[in-house]
Amino acid sequence: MRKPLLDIQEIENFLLKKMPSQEKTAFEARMIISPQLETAVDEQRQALRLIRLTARDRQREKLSAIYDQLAQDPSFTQTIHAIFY
Amino acid sequence: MDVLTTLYREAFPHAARAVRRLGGELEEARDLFHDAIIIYLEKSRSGLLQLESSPVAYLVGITKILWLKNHRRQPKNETLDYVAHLISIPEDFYAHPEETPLLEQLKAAGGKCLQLLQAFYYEEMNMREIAETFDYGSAHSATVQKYKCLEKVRKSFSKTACHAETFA
Repeated sequence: MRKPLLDIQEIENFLLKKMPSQEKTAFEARMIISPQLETAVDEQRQALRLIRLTARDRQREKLSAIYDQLAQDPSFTQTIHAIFY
Repeated sequence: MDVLTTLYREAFPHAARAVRRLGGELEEARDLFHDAIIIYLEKSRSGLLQLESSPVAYLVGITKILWLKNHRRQPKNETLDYVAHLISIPEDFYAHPEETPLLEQLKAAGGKCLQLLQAFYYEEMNMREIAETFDYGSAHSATVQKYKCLEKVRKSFSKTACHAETFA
């Protein structure tokens, strides 16, 4: 793999807690002296968080599709209707 | 009917009734119930789910807690307070409003890259499963592709005015 991808891999190992403790300590020390590395870690942390948020939205769409499918069944609709109306 | 649909069909009327008793409407009940299912699935996947009751009761409990949180109210009875303690909604469950541009950008870019990243970072599939699902020759090729996709996402974020430091 080329160097930028290896850097991403290293940051990932840190973020996903896959780094052995000695390596983690050394990595944290590098972050203290390199604002550039710290920024790269922050950016990657945020990227992972946003990827998870988009995945949740996709899951919400799937659940809406399940609701629409169940809404085709009159007994389900009647039960829900009786609760709210 | 698959397992999720069966669970949905069984649990939603109970959750809807609970939301109705609290003064909520159908649309809100549905949205909160969907979030409850997502929390339930995520915790199951991570092995963090310690069910002391049925999945249906758990889903109803989470739905109620989400409703109370949304309306900034505290649980009024001990049982619900106990459930609130048990379920602990993940801190980063909802997007911050400032993140909307980045989220929209990520969704618009979408495609196979985003699906691959979601499969690894959200669905927690391993690289062999991902290689099979996305038609890569080996787990290694899929891993390289995953990092390329992540690089692409990070580069696109760097170009956006909304910078990571805002949320760090």
